[in-house]
Amino acid sequence: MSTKEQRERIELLQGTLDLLILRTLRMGPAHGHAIAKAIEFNSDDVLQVEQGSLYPALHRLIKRRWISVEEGVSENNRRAKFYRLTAKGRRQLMVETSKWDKLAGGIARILRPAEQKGES
Amino acid sequence: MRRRKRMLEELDQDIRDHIERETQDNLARGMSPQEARYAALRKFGNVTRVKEETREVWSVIWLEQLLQDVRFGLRKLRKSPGLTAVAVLTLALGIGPNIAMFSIADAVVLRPLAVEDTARIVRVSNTKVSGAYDADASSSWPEYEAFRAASRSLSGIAASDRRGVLLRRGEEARLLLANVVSPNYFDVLRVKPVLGRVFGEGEFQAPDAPHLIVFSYDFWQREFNRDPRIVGTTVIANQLECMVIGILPRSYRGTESVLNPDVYVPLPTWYAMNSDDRKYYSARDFREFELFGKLQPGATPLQAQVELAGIQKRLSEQFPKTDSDRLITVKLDREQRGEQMGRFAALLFCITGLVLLIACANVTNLLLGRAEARRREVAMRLAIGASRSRLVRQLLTETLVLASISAIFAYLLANWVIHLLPSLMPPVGLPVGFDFRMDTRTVAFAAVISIVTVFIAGLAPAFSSIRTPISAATREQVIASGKSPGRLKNVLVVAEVAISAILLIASGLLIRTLIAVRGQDLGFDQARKMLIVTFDTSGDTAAQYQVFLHGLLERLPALPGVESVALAGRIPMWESGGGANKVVWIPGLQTSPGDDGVHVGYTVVSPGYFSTMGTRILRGRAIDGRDIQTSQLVAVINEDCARRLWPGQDPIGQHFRVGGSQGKDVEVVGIAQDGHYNEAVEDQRPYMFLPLSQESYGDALLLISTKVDPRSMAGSVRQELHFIDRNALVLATTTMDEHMQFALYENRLLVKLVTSVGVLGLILAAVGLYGVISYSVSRRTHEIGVRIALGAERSDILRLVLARGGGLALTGVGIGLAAAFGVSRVMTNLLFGVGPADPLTFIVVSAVLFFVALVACYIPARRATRVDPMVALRYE
Repeated sequence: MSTKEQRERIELLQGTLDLLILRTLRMGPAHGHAIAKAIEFNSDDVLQVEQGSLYPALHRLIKRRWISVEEGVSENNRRAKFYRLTAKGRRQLMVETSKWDKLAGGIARILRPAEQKGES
Repeated sequence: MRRRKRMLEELDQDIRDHIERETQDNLARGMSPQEARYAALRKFGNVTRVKEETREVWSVIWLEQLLQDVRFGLRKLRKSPGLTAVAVLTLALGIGPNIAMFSIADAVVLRPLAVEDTARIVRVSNTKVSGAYDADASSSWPEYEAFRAASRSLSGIAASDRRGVLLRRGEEARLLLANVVSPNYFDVLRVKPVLGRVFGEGEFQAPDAPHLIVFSYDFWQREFNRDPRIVGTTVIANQLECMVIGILPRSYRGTESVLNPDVYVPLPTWYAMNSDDRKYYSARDFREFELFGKLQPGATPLQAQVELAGIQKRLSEQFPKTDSDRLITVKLDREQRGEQMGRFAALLFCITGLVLLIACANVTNLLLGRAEARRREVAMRLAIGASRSRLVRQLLTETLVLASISAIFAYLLANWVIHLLPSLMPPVGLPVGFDFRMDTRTVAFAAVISIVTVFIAGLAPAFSSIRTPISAATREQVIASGKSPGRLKNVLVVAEVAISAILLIASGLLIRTLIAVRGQDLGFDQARKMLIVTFDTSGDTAAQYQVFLHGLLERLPALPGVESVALAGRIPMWESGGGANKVVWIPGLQTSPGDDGVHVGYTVVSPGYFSTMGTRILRGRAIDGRDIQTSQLVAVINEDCARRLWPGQDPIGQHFRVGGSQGKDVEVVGIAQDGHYNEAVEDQRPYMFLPLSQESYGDALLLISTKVDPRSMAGSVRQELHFIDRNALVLATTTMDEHMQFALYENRLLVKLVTSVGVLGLILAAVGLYGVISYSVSRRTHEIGVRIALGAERSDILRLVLARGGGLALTGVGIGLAAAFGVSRVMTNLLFGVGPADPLTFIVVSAVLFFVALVACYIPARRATRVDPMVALRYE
């Protein structure tokens, strides 16, 4: 496998994870562990990523200013970092979602060509 | 960047918290504490890698890659130190002259006057409409006053003239270059002094205004070692007590870029020093003042020009005799500077730019040769997935590293050249010099030119190496594909060799000229140890002066270390320029129409002159103590003069008239050997020596021939002068050696310049040859391997490679010699004692060039002989 392909696959995974984080935060600010739990729960464990890979993704989103960080107190009264969707992140989420939908649609069409033909 | 640091600092804590939470969850699910922790860690994954990846998010990729490339480049360059050294040297030699040129152009043309509102400063030039070229462009004081009174478009006009001022320093005196300026000079050209203040027009309204002067920074540094206490004290300048009120900043060097005045004297103070000048300066046709104006905001130079021309026109109607036929032009100071030096600077930039291009071409050759050798490495990297653009970036970075190192050396080289320049200037005793600065502007220029260099020299090799097919990685040797771009390179190298041949031959001929000039008999002993003193006495009358001179001749020979002492009006090649003439007449003399005799150069001398100077008396006697004011007027003439006046006769005892047919009767008492009187190289001319005691001559030079180092005598000579006259001043001392250096200044400067350019050319040619040959060797490695495998001896291979290099060198030398024949004919008037086709010069230069060429080829040739045939053939 060439480095190029590898990089593309990583990018795909990263993109997916980013999107999942943004979608999770649409419901409101959350701390790292909560985000991981939510993603696990929402994606039916389809995307079995190690929880650790959440952190590079979070930092990537902070750097792009799609999410922000603030100090807060968690449900069990412990200090924690809360991540919050920014306005820019919200816009990005809309763009990404439509992209994602297109991609998902495309995959669906390839997988079910007959149905797709029937539709058109 | 700060955000990055803060984010990463808390990462550890975040991860710990996360795992802690997961552990809590697991405990809640009923796991044992240990199990819960392990499960949490498992789920989290590799903590180190997560940290690593997070850090990467914040890193600036291109910068890190650049650093990586720079490190890689440095490693590569270290691995081939020879090539690196040659490339760095070449680029430094190419970039250095450009930096030096820039700093010269900056000092002379580009850098604006260091005054307030420099963009509004204009120069008013006042020239003759018709007739002779008038370089001065100066105005008279009455014109200045008229302009000032009537101009509306200029907010102020200042005038300045350059004069000499004698500044007393204890028992010595310094001759300073003074700017005599209108009192409003600093009101117009606003300069902020580093110390004290500058004068303004308002201070000179009262008739008993104080006498004020301002020093330049350079003079303050040179003479007072930047002692701040000098400000506020009085000094004696031209016998007048003046108050030093301020020191100008270093950046203000007067209005000319070359001459930096030592002192600024307002006109009222100047009149107090030199009352006679009031008469001269107020004359309508005494045009000595340069005028500077400051435009009113919004006014244009053209408006000012029309206005001043109108004022001038009225003056010409009023004073037609003195003020007609004048042309007034007003130009921005900035533009005027550009015009003065612009073309000259552009020409020099063309030359240094060409040098840079040649250097770049050479380095391109070197890099191409190396690119060839690295094809396999590059192919391998392409094969394992490096992108081509990334590789080009990396290869260019290598060149950038090379260029940066070169730029540092180039900067040092330029700095050295710049500091050498003052020593190349004539030692005229004036504050001549440019304000060379190696500052941020030159650093920026060096950076720009290095980046340009990277693209000129680096692009071709970089693209050449990535054109390698990936399959090449599997082969041990890559046979270069495509046509060799060799033709152009060969032409380049041949041209380089030819140009350096021409330059070296020119320099050889000039060196031979210098040797011949130095070796000729100038009519005096130029190797003599001698102190030459210019002095000033307080004696006002001619009689007092004669008494003083007598005292010198009596007392000085008694000093230990002194061999003999004499006085002379001037000595040969003295800096005061061409020697004076007198018209000499004898009955029956054939003269050219309009002349009342022949012109004979002369000097006045004291007894002892001929023995002190080492000038031989061929017949008769020298000037001696018998020749006094009241005795028969006598002269010693040179051989040429004797031949002209009395061909075939004995001149001793003959009489001639000095000053034309009605002149004074003078008897010839001796004949001195011929000599050179004005220049080191000149035709024979008639000359005579008259007794100092019989002429009313102004200043004399004191000549002291010594047994010891003449410089060591300066102190005791000064003491003797003061003993004879308490107020006597030593103005300057020099030695015969220094005097001769000055006399041969032009010859030596020419030799230095041509030789250094020639040597530069030689180095570049050698590098070019080396590059071409090593490139061809690396391309032919396979072929050479085959030859060795088929039984070629190492010596055969050596010969094969050397023959190619030698062929190029021979062609270049041949063309160069042929061209040099033509060039040296053109420079015949610069040559002396050597023919333009001097065989010795041609042979030596050819030999040197050929030897250097062989050395340049030998290095790659030896590498060729070390080609291992097994390696070259294994993968066939």
